[in-house]
Amino acid sequence: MNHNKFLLLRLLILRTVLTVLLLAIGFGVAYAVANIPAFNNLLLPFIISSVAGIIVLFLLFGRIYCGFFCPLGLLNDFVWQMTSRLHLPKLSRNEKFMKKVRIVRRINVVLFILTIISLIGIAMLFPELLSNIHITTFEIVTVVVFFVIVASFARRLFCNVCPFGIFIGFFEKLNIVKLKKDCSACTMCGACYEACPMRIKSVYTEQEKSDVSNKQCIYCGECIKKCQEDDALYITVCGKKIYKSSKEDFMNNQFSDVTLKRKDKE
Amino acid sequence: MSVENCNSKNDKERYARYHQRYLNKSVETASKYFQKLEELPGEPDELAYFKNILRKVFIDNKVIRYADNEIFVGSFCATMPAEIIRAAGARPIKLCSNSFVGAYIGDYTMPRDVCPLVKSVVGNITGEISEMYNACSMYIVPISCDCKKMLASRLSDVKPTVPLYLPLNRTDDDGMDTYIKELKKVADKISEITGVKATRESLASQIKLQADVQRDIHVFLNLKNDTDFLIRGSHALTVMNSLAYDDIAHWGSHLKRLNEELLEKKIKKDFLTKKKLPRILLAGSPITFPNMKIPLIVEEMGGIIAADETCLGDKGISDLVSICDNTANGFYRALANRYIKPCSCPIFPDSDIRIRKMKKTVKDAHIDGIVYHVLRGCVVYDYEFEQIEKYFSARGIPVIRLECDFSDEDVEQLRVRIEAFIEMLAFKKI
Repeated sequence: MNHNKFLLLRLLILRTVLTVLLLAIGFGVAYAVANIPAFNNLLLPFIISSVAGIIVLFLLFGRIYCGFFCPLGLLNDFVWQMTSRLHLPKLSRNEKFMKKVRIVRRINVVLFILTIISLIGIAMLFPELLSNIHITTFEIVTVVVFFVIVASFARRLFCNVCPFGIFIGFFEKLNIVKLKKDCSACTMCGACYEACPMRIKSVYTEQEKSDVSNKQCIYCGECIKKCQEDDALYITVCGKKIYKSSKEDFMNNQFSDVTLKRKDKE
Repeated sequence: MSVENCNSKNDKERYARYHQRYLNKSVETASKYFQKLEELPGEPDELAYFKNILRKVFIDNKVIRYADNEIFVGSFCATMPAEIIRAAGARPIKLCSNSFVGAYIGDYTMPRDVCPLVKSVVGNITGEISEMYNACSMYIVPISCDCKKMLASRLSDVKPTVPLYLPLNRTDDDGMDTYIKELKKVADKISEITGVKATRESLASQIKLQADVQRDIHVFLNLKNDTDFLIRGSHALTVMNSLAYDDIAHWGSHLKRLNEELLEKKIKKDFLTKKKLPRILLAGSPITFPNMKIPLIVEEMGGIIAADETCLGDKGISDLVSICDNTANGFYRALANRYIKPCSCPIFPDSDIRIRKMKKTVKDAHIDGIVYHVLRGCVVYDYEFEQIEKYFSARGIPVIRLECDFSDEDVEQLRVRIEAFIEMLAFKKI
């Protein structure tokens, strides 16, 4: 295993650990709070305030949750990397396809809002119906298998239509994490468009403005990884650069995603 | 004009005489410029390999051959991926020619205003004065400028020719998808001749091979960008030019040694001159051997050619391939993107990229002035001149336009103008 593959594996392990930790803390806190008798009266206000707090965090940090912490996103990336050795044909990434994706996205948002409203309505009016809802292992396994199959053919396809992500994306202007571009260094090579799992074209075509953040960007950093010009693309948090493109890094990692046959490696 | 068209024995003899005369003149011109190149002082030791390639191709009139059964495929322009030709089992040769005799012969059959490069290619083939055109089994002509359109139809009379249709609207996804299909068709056509199919593994290994050589090229360009004068522009042009005729693996290994030698010189502070001479960027229509008059005159008049923006020089090969998908289709997409989207050739309507790349070169190589070379008849490069001149003059970098063809007649006028330009730059530098 060469140096680059090792780095990728470390990043994957780090992300898994952080995601699991986040989920565990979330569940742990909810369970603990639900079981402390003194807090029974404060349960509802606590839940509301923590949900509000989480929402504010999401609004500030934006879709970097999608790129880094989301367990579904992690599953997607893991499957994509593992199945890259199988050389499966990949789904096309041109504008006609994206038009269809955008239609599904809008339908999803509407469905999501309707589901939330109806769940809240049922919880308030017919609470006994909620106890009949059982999520068994069968359902979970089906969803996971579906994700795994789709993720092998199109990277992060679900994230393109995920209603939760779209909701966070609405508040992109409040984000402290931004994607910036130095248009004078850009050679319009199109690698960022080719690499983007969310199939964002504006990062590639933008030639004047320096802020290219948009609602779909999940800050996965693929565009920066595949950019071969120094400082052409970079992610900033509160204005501070945390990950920027560099020719040196590009040349060292140019073939990190490519499997060559053993004898071609020499 | 060929021996088959000659009707009588007298005609055949006359043709043979003409042919010998043209051949002699072609070799004589090449030898003259080769001699001038040899006489330049400050040559690195490793340059001998690259000069040898030019001597073999232009003076001895032979093809550089590494195996008896090697199949050559001739291509033009910086937009035909060489990796595909190699993956399909053939060896690519760049056939863009700057030969005066070739242009003279081509003048008989081509329209007067056609660019001399295309006339030279046609003349080399119909006059049979250059062996490498004969050694190719196939020509691939990317349909870039008007003259290449004419060339594609003219060449198909002589040998199997494949036109490669380029997408002019580079941000349009459908256009790029069509171009990717065209590339696959071209690969299949080459496979028909060589019998070797371009597989996923062969494409990957060829891309990796070229990427390794491109790494050395970047080291070489960085050494040239240095304000310390390590290598002459004419010598650097020889190095980059010889890639067109040689196998890239062998060329790359010698370039590595050249880089090591130049790096040693840099550490020992063994520069060609300590004087701060004006640094010049050579831009515009392609310049290859033996048409070395402009680089030689610039250096004679006291300038340094620090960078080269012509398509057969630095800019044609410095972009790297960015692979996002591990399948064969992904490799074709990566190659299509790399050869079309950042290409600074002015045939594309949105040639903003050209000024941006030149701006970056001017900054990195500490350029003081730009020599913009336009071949008489090359409309696309000529068209760009006004925009480039306005942009760079406003930022304190003077630009001079030199229009010429391949003959020697205008050498004195060029010398006077270039001398004045370099004097002005030297004066500004003080």
